[in-house]
Amino acid sequence: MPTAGDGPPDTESARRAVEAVWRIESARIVGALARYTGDFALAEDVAQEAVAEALVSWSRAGAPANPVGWLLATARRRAIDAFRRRSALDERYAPLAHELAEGEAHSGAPTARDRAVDLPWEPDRVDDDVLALMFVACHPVLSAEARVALTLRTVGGLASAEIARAFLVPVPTIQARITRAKQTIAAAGVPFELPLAAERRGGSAGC
Amino acid sequence: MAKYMLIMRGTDESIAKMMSTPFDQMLETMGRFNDELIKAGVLVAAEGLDDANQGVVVDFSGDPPVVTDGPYGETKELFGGFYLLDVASKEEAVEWAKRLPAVAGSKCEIRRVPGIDEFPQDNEWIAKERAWRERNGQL
Repeated sequence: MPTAGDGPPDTESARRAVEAVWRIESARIVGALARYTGDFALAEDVAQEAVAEALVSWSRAGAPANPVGWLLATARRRAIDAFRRRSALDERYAPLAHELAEGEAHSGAPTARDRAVDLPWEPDRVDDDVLALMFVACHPVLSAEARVALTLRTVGGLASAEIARAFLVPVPTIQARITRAKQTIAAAGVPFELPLAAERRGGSAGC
Repeated sequence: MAKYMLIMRGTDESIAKMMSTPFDQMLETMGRFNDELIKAGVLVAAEGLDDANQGVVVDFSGDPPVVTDGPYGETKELFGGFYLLDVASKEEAVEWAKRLPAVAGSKCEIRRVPGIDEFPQDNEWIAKERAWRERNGQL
């Protein structure tokens, strides 16, 4: 929050300011980033990196006037960094991956580069983004308990400790469950999109 | 979690501006915001007040108190309604307040509402109030 007249910003008030924005907007922030990157796990990671940066930056300079915009812009920069690292890797592996890449190019799948356009905050898309997030978090490749944990995290914006309390299990168990769930989704190549109506009816039961 | 009251304060100009908005549009704008609060699980109560000109002021400057019709004091920054939110911190209350679909010129004051736990629990009146709050599902 702008700290006019509040004295110098400090770590504690920065933490509460970041938490406040995160509690209200986390699903929409991760949803918008997932749409932008097309990669759910990456969206989660860069959102967390932006939150970590906010804790440092906001305690020094105070919270920005538009905290959501700040988090989105920062996370987007981290996503672009990740794209660059990946494309550097891709170039190194290019000779090996040549045949594979040819196959993908013909499949018409959008690449990260295609999506690396501006990330506007589109209020009309927000609900779709959050719904798509829910479909990813409840994807049938995941076990029921992994779906619940991942949904509470990404859609509900709950911390691992809060989820662990609800499940009556230790915090590391939940952290591991969420990490495994994200790996499973990445490995299965679950797309970030709204399933078609027919798929929705048959698909992600259990959430 | 702690309760915070978002106290809506309008000026003559901001109230006039709000009144000039089509009623359906105003309902939708407020409804969308209220829906966000409900979905986030933070809304405890919300009320808007009728026209201040229809109000009555009871002034205790003297004894007996003096009763006058009409708005309280100056008509700038009149109390027009409130939200009561149950949130994790003052910062979260502020974040919600910043999202209010308020018209330009109006203000929102944010005040913490102390909970019953903060009063001496061995006081018989506090015990009675706690029992009443429990019966009404407020605790």
